[in-house]
Amino acid sequence: MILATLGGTAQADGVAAKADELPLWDAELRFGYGVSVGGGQGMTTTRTSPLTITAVGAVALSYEPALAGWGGLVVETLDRTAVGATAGIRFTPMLRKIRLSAGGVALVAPYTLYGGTAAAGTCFGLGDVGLRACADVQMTAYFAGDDLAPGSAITQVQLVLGVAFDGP
Amino acid sequence: MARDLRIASRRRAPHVLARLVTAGALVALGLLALTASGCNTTACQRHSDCDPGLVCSAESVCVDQPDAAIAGDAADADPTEGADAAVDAMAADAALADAAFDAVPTLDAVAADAAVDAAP
Repeated sequence: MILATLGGTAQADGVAAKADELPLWDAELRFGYGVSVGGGQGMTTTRTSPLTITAVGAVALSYEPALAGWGGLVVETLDRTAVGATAGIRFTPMLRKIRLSAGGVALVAPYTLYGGTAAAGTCFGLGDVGLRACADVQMTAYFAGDDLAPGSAITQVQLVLGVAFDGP
Repeated sequence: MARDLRIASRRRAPHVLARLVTAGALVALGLLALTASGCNTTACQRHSDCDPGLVCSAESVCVDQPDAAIAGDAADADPTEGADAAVDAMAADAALADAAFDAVPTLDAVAADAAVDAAP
């Protein structure tokens, strides 16, 4: 039974090792929703954030440490429509079981907003076709742009769910 | 066999971490839901939160564009401007008073003038 257990572990480790390999590139579609905290001139307001849809592609930059550069398009919807772009760097330590991202985001139409973003999350393999389901907690701070109320800044905290496709 | 078990244990550690991250994400989701349920939906944070023709003021309220412009002008105005004008006016008054004081002839001058006039 012990041998059978070890054999099963080895087989599982083989699958895990395959999933742990850093792909040369990957593509991901994310949906983020949460709360938005705005502040300025001594008062703070909290409201639900827009639904943020992000399509990003990532390219491996280094294997050790596991770094990848990513970039893509951002669309905000639900009670508004805005489009922009985002880019940054992703670090995937612990055999890709967790991932940490940081970057910048710019909404450019119909109004402008500029800020920084950081996220932490994890992904789970979906079968053996290179698909992964991912969940992140993401914080975005907008501090410039003509869509901001005078003298204020906005911080969004969102739960981001996504589906990623790994390249070779 | 013990070595294999140690390796398996080490490889299991990231799974535990992943579960912790997942649990953290679920807790964060709950906190987000709780926070969102108490959100003030009337306050604006961006101009695009407001209806067309309105802008978000510094007080997080949607206002008409002209009102916002006036409010902005008021905020931009120099609060010391009125005081400066008052000080300038006081200085001008003081200058006038000085001139008036200078224009008033002294008794000696009047007496001298009278003596000159009286001289043959």
